[in-house]
Amino acid sequence: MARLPPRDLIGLDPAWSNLVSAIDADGVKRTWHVLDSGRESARGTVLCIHGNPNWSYMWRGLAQSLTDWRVIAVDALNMGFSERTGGPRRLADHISDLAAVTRALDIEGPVITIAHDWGGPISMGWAQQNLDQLAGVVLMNTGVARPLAVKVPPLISIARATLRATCKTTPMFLHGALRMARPQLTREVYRGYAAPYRTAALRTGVRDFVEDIPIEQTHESFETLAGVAAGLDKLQDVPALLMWGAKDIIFSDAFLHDLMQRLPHADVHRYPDAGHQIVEDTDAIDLIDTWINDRVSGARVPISTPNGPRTSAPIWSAVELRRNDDAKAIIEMRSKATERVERSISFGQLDERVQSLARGLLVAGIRPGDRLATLVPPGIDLTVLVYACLRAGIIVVAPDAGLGLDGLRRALRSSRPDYVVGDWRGLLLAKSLRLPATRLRLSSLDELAGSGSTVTTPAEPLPDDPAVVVFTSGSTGPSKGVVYTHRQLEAQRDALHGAFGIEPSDKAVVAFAPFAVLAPALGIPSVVPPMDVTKPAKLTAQTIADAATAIEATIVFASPAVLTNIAATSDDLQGPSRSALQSIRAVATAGAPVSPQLLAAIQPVFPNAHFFTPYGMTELMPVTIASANEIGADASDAGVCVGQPLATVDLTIRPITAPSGTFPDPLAAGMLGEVWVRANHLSQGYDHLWRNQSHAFTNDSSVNHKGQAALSAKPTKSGDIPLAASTIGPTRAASWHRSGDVGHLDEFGRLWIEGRVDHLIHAATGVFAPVETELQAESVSGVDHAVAVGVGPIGNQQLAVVVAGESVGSTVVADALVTAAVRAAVSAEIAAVLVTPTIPVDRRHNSKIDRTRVQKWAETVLRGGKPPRL
Amino acid sequence: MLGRAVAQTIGRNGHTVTVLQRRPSGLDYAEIQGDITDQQVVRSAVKDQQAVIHLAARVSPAGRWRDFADVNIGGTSNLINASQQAGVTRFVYVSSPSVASSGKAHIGESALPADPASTRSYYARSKAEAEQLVLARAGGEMAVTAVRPHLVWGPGDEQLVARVVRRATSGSLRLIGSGAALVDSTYVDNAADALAAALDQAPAIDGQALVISNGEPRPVTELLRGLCDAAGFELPMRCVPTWAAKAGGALVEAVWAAGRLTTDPPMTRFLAEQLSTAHWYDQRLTRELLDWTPTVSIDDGLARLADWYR
Repeated sequence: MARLPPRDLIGLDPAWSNLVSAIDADGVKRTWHVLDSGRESARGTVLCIHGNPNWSYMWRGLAQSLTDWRVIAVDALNMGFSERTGGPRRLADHISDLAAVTRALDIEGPVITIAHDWGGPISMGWAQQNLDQLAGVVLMNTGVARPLAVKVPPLISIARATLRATCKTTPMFLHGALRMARPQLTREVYRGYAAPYRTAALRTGVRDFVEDIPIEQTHESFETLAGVAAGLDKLQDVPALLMWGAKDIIFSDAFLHDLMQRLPHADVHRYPDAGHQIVEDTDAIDLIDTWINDRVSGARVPISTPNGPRTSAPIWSAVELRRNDDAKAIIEMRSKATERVERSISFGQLDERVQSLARGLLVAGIRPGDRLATLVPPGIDLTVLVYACLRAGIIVVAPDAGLGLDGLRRALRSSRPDYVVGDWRGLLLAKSLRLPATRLRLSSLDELAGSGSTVTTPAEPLPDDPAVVVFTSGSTGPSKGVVYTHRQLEAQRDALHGAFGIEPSDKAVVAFAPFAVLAPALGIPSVVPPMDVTKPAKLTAQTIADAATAIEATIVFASPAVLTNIAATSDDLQGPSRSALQSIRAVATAGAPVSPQLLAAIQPVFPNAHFFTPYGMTELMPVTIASANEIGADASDAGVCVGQPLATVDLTIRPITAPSGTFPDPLAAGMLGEVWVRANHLSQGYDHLWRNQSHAFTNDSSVNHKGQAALSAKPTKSGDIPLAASTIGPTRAASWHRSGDVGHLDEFGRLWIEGRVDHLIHAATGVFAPVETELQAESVSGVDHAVAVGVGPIGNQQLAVVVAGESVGSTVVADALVTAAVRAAVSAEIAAVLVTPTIPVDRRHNSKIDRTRVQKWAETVLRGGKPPRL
Repeated sequence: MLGRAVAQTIGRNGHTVTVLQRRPSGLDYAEIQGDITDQQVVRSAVKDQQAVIHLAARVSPAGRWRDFADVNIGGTSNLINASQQAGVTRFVYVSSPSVASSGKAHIGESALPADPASTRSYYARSKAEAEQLVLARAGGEMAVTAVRPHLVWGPGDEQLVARVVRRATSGSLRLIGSGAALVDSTYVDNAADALAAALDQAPAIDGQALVISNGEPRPVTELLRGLCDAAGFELPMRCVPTWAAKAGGALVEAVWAAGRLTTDPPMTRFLAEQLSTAHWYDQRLTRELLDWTPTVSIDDGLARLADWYR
């Protein structure tokens, strides 16, 4: 018999519990325990289906928080508090049982199904039979078929082999599954989950569920499951959300990948650190709420991906245009002084190799739309590979060695490439990461290129097809994959071409990895100095001068860290090397702003150069390109001036406090707020992170143009001419990106950056950015670096200033003199002045302060904890 | 020290003040001498009064539970009963943030309910029980409120400043851990102003407990350094690890308890926790409800303390 759950389970309102009777497929009257939030005036019904070993208790949060929808969660027969039937229920039974319950409840209007674990196939079976009502589907850590690459998970094998002991007689399987929660469930919640399974008799259904996993083809549920899987193609116009705890040892990423291929239109949010019990581990309930509001209107709308007309030349076109040109396109340097030029390739050769490799990759079985990760150092091989993939429509996953080993692992796991190409080191790494991708040796690419030479040229990818996945640095939270389409890449090339005023006669030294691949797209020759991508700061003035000499360079791309080292080692330069650097007309930096001190030190090395500092983010680069020569002279305002936005970028400052999904009006000049940007070269968004996407990319079709008034007076640079003949159209992309950076615009329309939203200090007296405090603290003699962080609850934070420098001592709490001096120099109220031997910077740029770490450190010591390592 | 400051503040505000003290106060107000454990004395003290501010307590890091319970719980019980019988309309109980302290750090929180079971010293437990006793009378004719000043200091202070100075001069003052734990403190005049404000606002804050402080938390090292500086001593920079301080404190407590010692012990677990974990509070609601803000900053307070020592 079905029962009602105990009335004192935490989070479960006894008023939601009902016993519902209906006739099952065999004509027998059965009784189910059903949670029903009972909100009749709702937009529709959310139908929740649990997995094994579980019950509708897992949906209590949804019943609580989805106020616009009637939430119904059914305990399967033999599970939870539903009737024990005395015999096993198979997948087909569960599907027809669910239909019986929904008929008995007389559910009308739109229905969204939400399911977890083995509830997934049940919900999909129901969905396919009720397409006319179906308004959306949400699946989490489930599967409808075992992906080929996946062996039967050991836990399931063990459970299957020892069914009686593990699942029924003892509660081992139950407790094992519940203990997969990360972090562990509280005792009260644990009690809630275990409540219906206290005796062996009550656990029969748990055993039956495990037994019903159709591992072999002869299993009685095999056909049913195969039918459910095949039927998913009926859901191609139904909004779908796949939510995944990536640390699930049963429904691993492979199952997510399988579902993504069956539901290619689905929104995906993957939680890298959550496990199987995703509802307990994460903010899943909140995400579902957001997603339903955003994606499910109640009535069904067809989902289509418009692929608009071409607006600029393909990314490879500059190379293609020079296909008859013998001039060097790329030169790779090596560190030996005797033989400095290691390899080179002409434009003609480059075009030929790109074309043939593009064909070869397809011949090798890689399909357009597949993902291919490159673990190849910058240089000719990487450039050829990237252009070949783009030409063939293969999506390039480009992790950055600067992410560090752990960052690289997370990047590759989350982006899930189908193929990995690397040199021996890259492949060793891919192997050690146990990526489920096919590994290809870099040296085998020549063979592929050869095999492709006889095949006809592949079709060009469409402008709105995804082209690359790149990664955020991780200095502002866990690294995120960022997807660019071909159109967006082309727009980015055009923006950079215009902003740097690239002339056909230009030649570049590329000491900043991302630009190494870009140079051929800009149509200019480049030289790559020998560099360890993880330690770019080791490049010396001599290496750069050698590179410049080899190509008669006019432009240098480098990070501030590299420039610092160049300045430090420039005394050793001899006459010819010096004159090679005198021919440099432009030095472009990226990663972090150039300080006035660095500018003063580096200018004598490049006496004729203009210094450009682009400001932007992985999601949109560049936003501004400031001339460091101008900005160094004027540092009168709060923060760091990064110049005016490009003519092709819309930039507004909007309130920091704007909740996700809102589109507040821009703030006036001078007011501190979050930087919002929009441009044709804005990326598509985040990879498999729907939640971050919905927060940071606001797709507002009724676009608000108020922000443009302040910027319209800005002069258009003469260099703002796109590379391709077909220019950027008058209409801008509709999507705005909230950058997470905070700052303000001055009266000249210049942007001043004052930090990150996450690093703002939310004091009781108001919100302020750390940069001004830091600059004031750094004016104290002996203080080399200062980081201002907030500690304590938002809205009542205290300000701590963490300083480093040779003469500030080494105690955690600064001594009386330093404390007094910093307090006197800083205008804000300081609670504590702390001292640390070094300030950590993020690995990629070697230049951005890792504020999150400093903040955590300060929080720990000010709580009274042992100072962690910084 | 705080009692004197409060009497003077509300006297200046135009109230007619009577003080109940064990020893002569030397103040210019009507005075009754006696102990709050004596019901007779208490009844005569509250007779014809409109309001009572209750600051009397046994404050000591060590001692027997009985002694704390008698004064802090028994005395409070006498006082509130007598006040209610005498028709007093406002009753302000001066409590302590330690009544809701289970040894964990307090980081920008507002006042949590008193919890005697989880307190970490006899003092805190007795104050917590007494606070519950007082606030349980909310909703009646007499408005009751608990105000919890955190670490009160100033000229004439026998609790914090005098102890720190005594230890510093005898060379027995130690910093615990890295000495960076952020702690709130309250300059005595600000505490007096806040209590006077609580008296004014009593009907509006009936039944509430509020923490008060300067709202300027400082690393414990910086605070102690400031107090020592003002008193003309240098803060010794000898440090003990947190675990050692707690273990030592536990040992000392056992010895003091077994020997029935009444002198100040060099360390207790409670003290070790207070000096090594963060204790700072959200002052926004307090300030709004009391319509009060501190007028003497920590820096100004330290300057006044230095003057006093000179």
